[in-house]
Amino acid sequence: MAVSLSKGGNVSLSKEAPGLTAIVIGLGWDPRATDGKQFDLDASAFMLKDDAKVRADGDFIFYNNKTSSDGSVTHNGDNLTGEGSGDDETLDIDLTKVPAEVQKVAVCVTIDQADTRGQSFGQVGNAYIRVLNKANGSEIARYDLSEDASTDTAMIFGEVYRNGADWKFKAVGQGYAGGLAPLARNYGVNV
Amino acid sequence: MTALTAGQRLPLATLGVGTSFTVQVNCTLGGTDITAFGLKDGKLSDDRYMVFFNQPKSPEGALALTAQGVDTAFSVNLAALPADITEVYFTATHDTTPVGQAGALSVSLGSATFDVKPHLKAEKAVMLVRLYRHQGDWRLATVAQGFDGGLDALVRHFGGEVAEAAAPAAAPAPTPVNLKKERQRVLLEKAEREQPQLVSLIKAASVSLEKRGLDDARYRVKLVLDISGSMYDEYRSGSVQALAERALALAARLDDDGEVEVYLFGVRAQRKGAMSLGNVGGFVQRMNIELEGGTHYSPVMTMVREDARKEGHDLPTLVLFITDGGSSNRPAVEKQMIEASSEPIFWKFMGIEAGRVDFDFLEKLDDLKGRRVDNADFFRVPAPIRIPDGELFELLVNELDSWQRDAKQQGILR
Repeated sequence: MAVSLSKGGNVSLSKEAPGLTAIVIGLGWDPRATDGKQFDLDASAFMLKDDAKVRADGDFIFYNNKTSSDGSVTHNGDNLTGEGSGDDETLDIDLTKVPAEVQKVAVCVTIDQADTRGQSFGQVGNAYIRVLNKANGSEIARYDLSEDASTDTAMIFGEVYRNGADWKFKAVGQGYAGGLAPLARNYGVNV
Repeated sequence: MTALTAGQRLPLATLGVGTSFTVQVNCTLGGTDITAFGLKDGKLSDDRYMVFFNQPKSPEGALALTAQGVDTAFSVNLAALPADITEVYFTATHDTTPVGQAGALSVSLGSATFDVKPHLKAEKAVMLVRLYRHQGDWRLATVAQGFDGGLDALVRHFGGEVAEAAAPAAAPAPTPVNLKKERQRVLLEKAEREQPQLVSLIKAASVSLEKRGLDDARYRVKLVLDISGSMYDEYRSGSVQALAERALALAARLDDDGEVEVYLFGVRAQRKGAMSLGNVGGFVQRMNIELEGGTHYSPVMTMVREDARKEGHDLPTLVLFITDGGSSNRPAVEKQMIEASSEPIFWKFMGIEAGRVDFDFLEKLDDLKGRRVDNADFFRVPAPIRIPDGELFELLVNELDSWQRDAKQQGILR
């Protein structure tokens, strides 16, 4: 049974879904119906060491770097407009392939060119980010970005982290000022 | 005061309002229309929930327009709204100008103000704010998004899929959104600003049209004026100007652009351009009419028919033909009337009766044989013209409905 997480809450993935080996991060939003610049939301992931920094730039998985060097995290493609039903962008994380040195994977969502286009999540129709068990598609956590993060342009959605031999997920739901570049810098990526 | 930015989503309680409050829109761009749309799951399925000048409140009164002008106000009673109204959009639309060109455009609600103007570019229709149900409560979203295409695009956005969604047989057909009201309202509002003396005339014209089931009818309106010497008193007394204003009031309800093309005839025929709400004041005087020593209907009829043909016959034409006497070259006029009976033009002859005038010919035209449909009507008024407006409009639109019906049957009018 899916556990609905509120901000700051966490869940043991291994306990909730025994034998869990892979998760999917889903990001969805409605294409812009009004006139003006499209809403382009991007999902990204950072593979982090103990010190909350990436080992190398290759551990930052996003639209220009679709697969981590070890193949554990894959970005399935950038949807520029939100066109289509269901999740518009997905990331796969194969927990069994995540190198031991990586303690957690931070998952983020940002609006491309939010500043110049004057956009925030609240202006986007039905924007959400969620995490699913890849094996059966059950939803583990979700944020309704349009409602809960309306004035933000970037958000740290959650962290998948090691807890001994288990994997846990923490719903962070924290807005982050400035967008993808400062977020990446914060995690030790050279941008 | 709390200043809101675009994209915010707030429980109404955080703005210090309950279920009953006022939404104020401050807009300094003249001609902007402020409307409240009550929607059902994003769609306008019931146009009684389009609250604006022409329909100032929803059936139960939960949404009501309480002030107009630079400061437009709506009273909102959320508790009284039907449960199936899931959201209410407040919008600003303009026929021709991007709404963002307003010197100021903002929305106030409770303790908060949302400055919409900085978020706008070329939109002629803008969703300002949205009230919506969310988990049992009402919230406010600051939207500031819209459509460069104006009201049509906005209404399509709110209701474009209604017809398609109506496929399941059990569901009652949704009422199509009537945009015509909007066009008439725009003209009426323009009249209120620019020609307030015409407002009661436009309303009187509406009544006469509605009585004949012509409230949705669309015509091009043309005014043809006799400038034979005997019309001297009518021009000098201002009677002709008064008639012109009434023709314009009729056009404000009937005509697609609310303008009246004006023609003069004596011996010759002349085109005098379009009379509109913007130039109606003193229009007759500015024509600097030189009266002529003769009354020839035929040349001006040719001119009107030519113009109607050029403008396209997709819209019918209503000709208001004002004269104080019979025509020379009567066979030519009769031939014209017979030919024109196959065209989507209705001829309304108004005879001004000054002294001993012979209207036998006009009586004859009214009942002329050999025409495909009866495309003309004649009535006379005594000079000086003192006929009450309501009565005048009755006479001006008399027979228009029966002609429209017959012309449709004959395939003259689509």
